[in-house]
Order: sequence, then C-alpha cells, then structure tokens
Amino acid sequence: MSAAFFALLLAATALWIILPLVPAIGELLRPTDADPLNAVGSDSGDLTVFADGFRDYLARQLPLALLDTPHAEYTGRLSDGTPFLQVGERSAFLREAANEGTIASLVVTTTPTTLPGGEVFLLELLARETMHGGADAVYRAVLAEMDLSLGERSSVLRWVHAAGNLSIGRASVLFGRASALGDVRLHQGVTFRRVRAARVIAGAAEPGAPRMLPPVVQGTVKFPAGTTRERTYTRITGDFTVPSGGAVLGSLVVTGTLTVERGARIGGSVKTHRDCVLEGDVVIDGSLVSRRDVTTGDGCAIGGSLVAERAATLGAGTTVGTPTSQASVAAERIALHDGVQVFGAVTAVVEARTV
Amino acid sequence: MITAIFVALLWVVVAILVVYTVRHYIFTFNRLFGRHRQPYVDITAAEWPVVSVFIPCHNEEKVIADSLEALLAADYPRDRLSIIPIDDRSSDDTGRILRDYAGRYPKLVRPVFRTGGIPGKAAAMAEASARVGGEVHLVFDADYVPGPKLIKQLVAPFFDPEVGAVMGRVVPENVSRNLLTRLLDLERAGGYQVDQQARMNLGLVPQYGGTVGGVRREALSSVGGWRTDTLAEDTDMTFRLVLNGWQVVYQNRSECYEEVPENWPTRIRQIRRWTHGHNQALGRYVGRILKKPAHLSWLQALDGALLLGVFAVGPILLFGWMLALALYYMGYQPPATIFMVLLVSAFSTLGNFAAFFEVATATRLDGSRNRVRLLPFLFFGFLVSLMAVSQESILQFVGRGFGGRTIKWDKTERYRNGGTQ
Amino acid sequence: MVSGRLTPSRMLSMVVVPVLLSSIVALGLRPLGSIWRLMLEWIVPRLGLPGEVGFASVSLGSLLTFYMPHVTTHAPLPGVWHYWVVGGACAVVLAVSLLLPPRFTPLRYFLRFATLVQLSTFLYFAIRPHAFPYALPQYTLGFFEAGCALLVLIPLVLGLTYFPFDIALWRKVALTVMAVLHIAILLPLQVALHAYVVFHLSLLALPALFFIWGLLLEVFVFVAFYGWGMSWPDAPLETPGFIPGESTSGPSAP
Repeated sequence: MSAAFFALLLAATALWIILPLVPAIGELLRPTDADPLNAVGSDSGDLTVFADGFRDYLARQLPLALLDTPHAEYTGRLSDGTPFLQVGERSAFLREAANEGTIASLVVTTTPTTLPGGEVFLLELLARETMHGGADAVYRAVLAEMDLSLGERSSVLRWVHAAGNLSIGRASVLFGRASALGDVRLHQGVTFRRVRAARVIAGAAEPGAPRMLPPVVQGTVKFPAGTTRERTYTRITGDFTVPSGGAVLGSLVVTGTLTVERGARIGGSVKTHRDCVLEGDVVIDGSLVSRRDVTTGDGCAIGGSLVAERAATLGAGTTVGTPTSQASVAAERIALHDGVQVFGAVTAVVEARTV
Repeated sequence: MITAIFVALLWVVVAILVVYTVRHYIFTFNRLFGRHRQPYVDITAAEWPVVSVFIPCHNEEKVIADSLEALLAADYPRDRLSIIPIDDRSSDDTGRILRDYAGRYPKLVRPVFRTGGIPGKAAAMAEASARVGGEVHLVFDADYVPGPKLIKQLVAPFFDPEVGAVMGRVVPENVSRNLLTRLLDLERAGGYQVDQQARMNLGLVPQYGGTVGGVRREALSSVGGWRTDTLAEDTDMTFRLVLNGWQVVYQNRSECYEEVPENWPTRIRQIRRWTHGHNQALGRYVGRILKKPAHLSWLQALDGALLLGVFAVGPILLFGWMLALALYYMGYQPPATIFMVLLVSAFSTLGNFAAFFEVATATRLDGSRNRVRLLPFLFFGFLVSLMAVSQESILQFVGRGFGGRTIKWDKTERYRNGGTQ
Repeated sequence: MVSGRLTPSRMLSMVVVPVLLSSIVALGLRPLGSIWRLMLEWIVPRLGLPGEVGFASVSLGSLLTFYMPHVTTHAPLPGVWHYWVVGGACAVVLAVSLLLPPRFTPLRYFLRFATLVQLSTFLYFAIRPHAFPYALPQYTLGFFEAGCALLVLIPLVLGLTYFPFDIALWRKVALTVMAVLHIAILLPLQVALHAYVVFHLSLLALPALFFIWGLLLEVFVFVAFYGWGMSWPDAPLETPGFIPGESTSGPSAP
C-alpha cells in the first residue's frame, strides 16, 4: 500500500517538475522559432538598395499602355493596385490631383519639373527628368533619374536617390538615407543620418579642390620619452601635441588626447584613445580614428576615413578623401561646417547636420 | 586539518566561480545598458586594401563550392581580392573542384596545394600566408557562406592602425535539425551577441576566433606568423597580438553562417579540440598577461587571464563538487550560500558558452523569443561540455602534457549535400 | 527589448520590487513551515514511514527564525541486502548508460555521473560505515532550510536577470510568484520521496539523493521558469502612427 502511494507520489512529483518545462518541450517538439538568424549582409552599406528595389518594382508594375505614351498624363493603378499618377508636361496636373496638398498616389514626373512646395507625397516619387521641389514639401521617398533639388524645409521620410546631383535645401530633414551618383549638396541646417555620393558637400558655395601633396619623407617631430615604435605605427602614451608645421612620418597611436597644431602633417593614419583636435590646415594622409571626439579646424584634409566613436565636428573647408580615393565619415554625431567635402559617405548613428 | 584544507580549497573554487559569474553578469549588463561600440561598421566608402581570403580545406567536397561561389559574389574591388583555398592533401574531390575554379577565375582564385609538412589548419595557414601578399588576411572555414558585404565589413577595422585582428559573428545555419543544434544556436548567441560584444564595448579582449575574421599581415608577421604547434591557433594568435600592442576588435553585425555539429560525438570532439588548444594558450600566456605589459590596462590584463581560463572552469567546477562531496562525508556541510553557487554554476559558463542569463539576453537582443524556452535543456549541453572539457584537461595536464596531442585535421562533420557544382 | 537606459524607474523596478517580494517570501516562511508540516503529516503515514512529523526551529542568518517540519523516521545503516539492491541498481544504470545510442549522450553522462556519486558512497560505507554523520531527520530539516534560502533568493536573482527587461511589471511579478509557489510545493514532495527511499534503501542512498536529486532540481525548475518568462513579449509602448526612417514596408521595400 505504501509502495503504491510512493509510486503515485513519485509520478505526481515528476509531473509537477515537468509542468514548467511544458513550454520548453512544446518549443522542442513543435518549433516556432528555429530559423537561423537573418544574417545581415545583403544590403548593409549599400545605400541604393531601396532605390534599386523601387526601380525594379516600378518596371514590373507600370501599365503597359504607358510604354507607348511615356509623357502622357495618367491616373490609374499599378498592377498591384497601388494608386498611380504620371505627370506630363502640365505640372498643374499634379496640383489638381492633390487633395489639399496631399498626393496619395505613387507619382512619376516625365518632364523637367518645378514644384511650388507644400506638397505631401504619401507614396514614392520617380522623377525621370530634373526636378526642383518646393519648400516645405514632405516626401516619402524620391528616385531621380537626373538631377534633383529639394526646397527649403523639405522632409524625406524614407530615402532619396539621384542618378545625377542631389541638392537638399536649408533646414531640411532627411530621416532615412540619401544618395547620388554625382554630388550631394546639403545646405545649411540640414539634418540627416546616412548620405553617400561621389562627393558630399556642406553649404552653398563651391569648395576648392583638395590639395594634392607629395608624401612625407621625414618626420620633424620629437616624441616624448616612453614612445614605442611598433611594426607599423608609433605608440605614444598619454596626451601629445604635434607642433605647428611639424611633420610625423608614419602612423600614430596616442593613448591620450592628440592635438595637432596648425599646418602640421601626419604622413600616415592616426588613432587616439581620447579626443583628437586638429587645428586649421592640418593634413593627415591616412585615416583618423578616435575613441572619443574629433574636431577639425578650417581647411584640414584627411586622406582616408574619419571615425569618431562620439562626435565629429568638421571645420569649414575640411576634406575627407579625394576625388580618386573614397572615404567615409562615421560617428555618433556629426557636424559639418560650410565647405566640408566628403568624397564618399557620411554616416551618423544618432544625427548629422550641416551648420 | 584535512577538513580545513578542503574547506579553504572549496572557498577558492567558489571564489573563481563567483568571479566568472560576476564577469558574465557585467557583460550582460553592459550589453543591455552600456555604450554599444561598433565604430568601423559604417566605413562603407574607402580605398579598400588588398585582401587575401584563405579557406583551409581538407576533404571539403560537400561544401567548398558554396563557399567559393559566395566569395566570388563578394562586393569588393576585384583587383584587390585574392581567394586562396588551401587544399591540405584532401583525398576526396576537393582538389578537382579547386582546380576547376582556378581555371575559371585565374585572377581571383589561387589555390595552394599542400603536399607535405604538418597537417592541420594552422600549418596550412602558416604555409599559405607566407606565400601571398595582401595587407589583410581573412580566414573562413570551408563550410562558411559569407554574404556579399562581409569582406568590406571585416576589412573596415584595419583602417585603424592599432587593429591587428578582427572577428565577426558566427551564426548557425542548421539550427532546426535537432536539440543539439538548437542548444548550440543559443550558446553561440550568448557567446557572440553578449560576451564578445561586451568585451568590445568595454575595451577588453575580444577573441579572434579563427574564422569569419582576419589579421593584418604586418601584425601577423610582427608576432611570428601562425603557430603550427597548437590546436587553437586563433586563441594563440589573439594573445600574441594583444601582448604585442595590437588590438583585436569584434563586429557583431559582420555575420556569417556556419554548420554546427549535429551529433554529440562530433560536438565532443570539437569541444575537446578547443579545450586542448585553449589550455595550451593558457599555459603559454597567462603569466605574461598577468605581468601586464605597459600598453594594457589592469582590466584588460585581468579579462585576458579570465578568457584564457574559461576552459579550466569546467574541471574547477568538477573539483569543487568533489570537494563538496568529500566534505559532506567528513560531516562538514558548506553554508547554503556556497552550495547555491555550486548549484547555479552547474548551469554556468564553460569555454565560449554563456551563463543562462547571457543566453537569454542574447536571444532577446537578436529579436528572437520562443527559442529561449529551451534554456533548461542547456543543462544537458553543459553537462556534456563539462565532462568533455574536464576529460581533455585532465589528460592534458596529467597525461599527455601540453603538446601531447597529435596535430591533424580535426574538423566538424559537414552535412550539406554537395555544392553548387 | 530594453530601452537601453538605466533610468531611476528601471532601477527601482530591478531593486525595490524584488526586495519587496523577497521580504514577503521571508515573512511567509513561518506560515509556509506550518503548511509544509500539514503536507508531511498527510503524506508520511501514507508512505508507511514510522514516527511523527517533527517541528524544529531554523534560522536564516541571524535575522529570521522560524519553524520547519522534519520526519522523525530513522533510516538504518546499510545492510547486506541494501548493498545488493543499490549496487544492482547502479550496475543496471551503468549498463544502460553504456548501451544507449550516441544521441542520448547527455543522458548517458548524467547516469554515469549519478553512478559515480553513488559509488563514492559505497566506498565511504565500505571504509567507515559507522562514521556517517547524517541522519534522516536532520537531512530533511536541512533540506527545508536550504529550500527556504532558495525561495528568498529567487526574487532577488530575478531582479538582476529578469526585471531589467521591458516586460510588463505584472508579468515579472507573476513569474516570480509562480516560481516561488511551484518550488514551495515541490520541496515537501521531494523531502517525502527522499525520506521513503532512504528509509527503505538505508543511508546508502542519502548522498546521491542530496547531490543529484536535491536542490539541483529546484535550480533546473527555476531555469525553466526563467526561460519561459524570457519568451514573453515586451510591454507595449506608445508608438506614433508612422515612424520615418528606413523603409521596411511599402511598395518599394526590398
């Protein structure tokens, strides 16, 4: 009798122990979450992936009738039911189609277009010719097959790409990514996060071409005691200042703050464990990486990429990269003063802006 | 007297386990609330350096074609990329496949065919890397299928002159096969998403893991190249680089699929191989790292030492249990707190595997949810690991000694059925 | 998942609430002891164990003193019959561990581990059979004492490992309560089962039961609850109707 009760108690206890395991057993026997992690790789770093996707999508969806009359006005739906509007030569067509300034259709402009401003485009916009957007417009996404300029205080919610040059008006906000095969010009007060172009320019003026200098052949700077020479760089413990006009041969790693005074040059790459401050007209032939902030004065030139784990402030006329050698600026927060040129990409984790 | 000694030893064991548990908690906390460091991943436009991508192979006919196809599709300047499969005396069709690809892509695919020398991945890497140039040497195991952007992502950190090696994240592809693969998926998540990334965030010592990663050629040559007398050339390389002033960085977003073992014997062989190699590195470098070279902080030196000791934790835990058992027979019952620690440590970390809260945190950080319900089954994985690690450690320290294991090709079984050929 | 900031409210939730719950558990140990006594008083006679259920004073640290039940049944030292039965069982378990196919490797290892612990007890009783320092009544009392420590710790452990996440507070409290209640019910069931086994198989069975089938089970159960709780969704946030930024939907989303 006691043995039977023991068996019963054992069974009951076993069931009690198994009870919290039921979700685990359920997941094991009937998996609901057993797919491999979606490994990043297909679009990371490729800013035009959405623009390319949109182009492909449109090619599949456009009504066949439009192939014969590519510049005609058209209102209808795409194959998947998306409302669609094609603007021909009469730009007033767009105004007529808007509902109190809001256009709820996917829009294609087929001729050079200038918009008055204030529109809200709820779906994507494709500009087959040049397009000048007006002030205070809101775009979901824009693909331009030629040059594109957006007016002051425009907002782009997803992405914008131009096959030519792209100009973003003052005080505009780019929430997603912006790219161009030509130049991207960001006027004053633009906030953005990711921009990629052959050249990214801050401000309205046309900056000068970057200086092309012969390589550094001899260092003139005296290093402090305790400096060690590793295989490919010189390590300096603590803070260090490169004096004005000085030259450093090769790459530098500074475990403190690096200050490079006006007109100095570093003939390699730089890594600082704390801040990096470049006064005006400093040239760094290679990359510049800082675990904290980077601040450059006017007219600096960084040959390679510039990475700051916190904030990067680029002084007026600073160049990063060259027309023949692309580079990136990457930081948590980025501020670009007037005339900054970046030949490549600018990516901010939190926010970038032109000042 | 004996009781006092055993009690003191038990306290030492418990202290070690507490240190590792606290370490893992700090890592988890850092991943949740600390500053996330991935400074190089946004370098998308650059003057990309010359890269050599090595794929050590031994009898990889099932998988090598997929790997090559993936690398050939990589988004990287063609004139700066070399793909160097290293065929180490394969007896299957691997050689023929490599010759075929070399014939079709002569400027890109340049296989190395080994005919002599010590077998094994480290020796293969040593021989091949001495023959080729390139500023950066990346390494993939033959069953890996890198995405098109991965090479640029792995190369980007080398624009930092201090970086000597980079490690990406390994993601199991064959997750759904059985309980073992699901448990390994959880362990990998904890090890990479939390452990490695936290070490990166805190500026400690992320480990170069031998695949989905790479080294700067100058850094490699400055530390004497690949060692051929170790089963864990990755751990060995990590510490030689760190001790010589180079940084190892980890990039969580640089992910690549791998095949994890699908049966326990294969898993045990893998663990034992890792244990042996890691313990070799422990013996070689723990003294040097604890002497704290000038360029390392105390925290880095401590983390490095703890990293070296991860495969020793298993036998230490077992020893603790044996002490507790012995003391029990002597009539000494450890305080409840000690016992709690020992019990919880039965679920705790071994080697690259993470404590249950690290695993759970990693799963949520990955955006997964229901798979974390399998957490209690990790106990079974840990038990097997504990036994395998302890067995290998004991044989290593008591039996064979550090170098006393024949270096040969020890690789994980492949499960894919043929490549794209 | 986690908003990424260690705000004062989050710290409050991670520290204050678990400490509060832990205090409630601690205060509840007195009535819990009485409930356990009632449970044992119902179970013990039905298991045919002689003796009454005792009630003794225990303390957690120097702050908390309360009464916990224990069996008063005394287990015998092992006799020849016990050696044969337990030894035979070990042999069977070992044989099973050798015969199981490789896919049961964890089970094989677990069975061998358990067998090794049991064999250590054989060794002990072979050398010093009369020196065994434990008796069944003290074992059961000690088991409850350790169990109480575990119950008080559970909210604090969850405070560190579960409460940081953006899961609704009511869920966090619910998980804690479920885990505590579950283990509170499990403990006396375990004690009763252990008492029965040790009474019939002698003190030879005690160490293995303690080390293998003791609080390790409670930790296992706790991890099961934790895993389940970690699969629960985040608390809903107030989100705007439209979030600008990267395109993840819409006609042009890849």
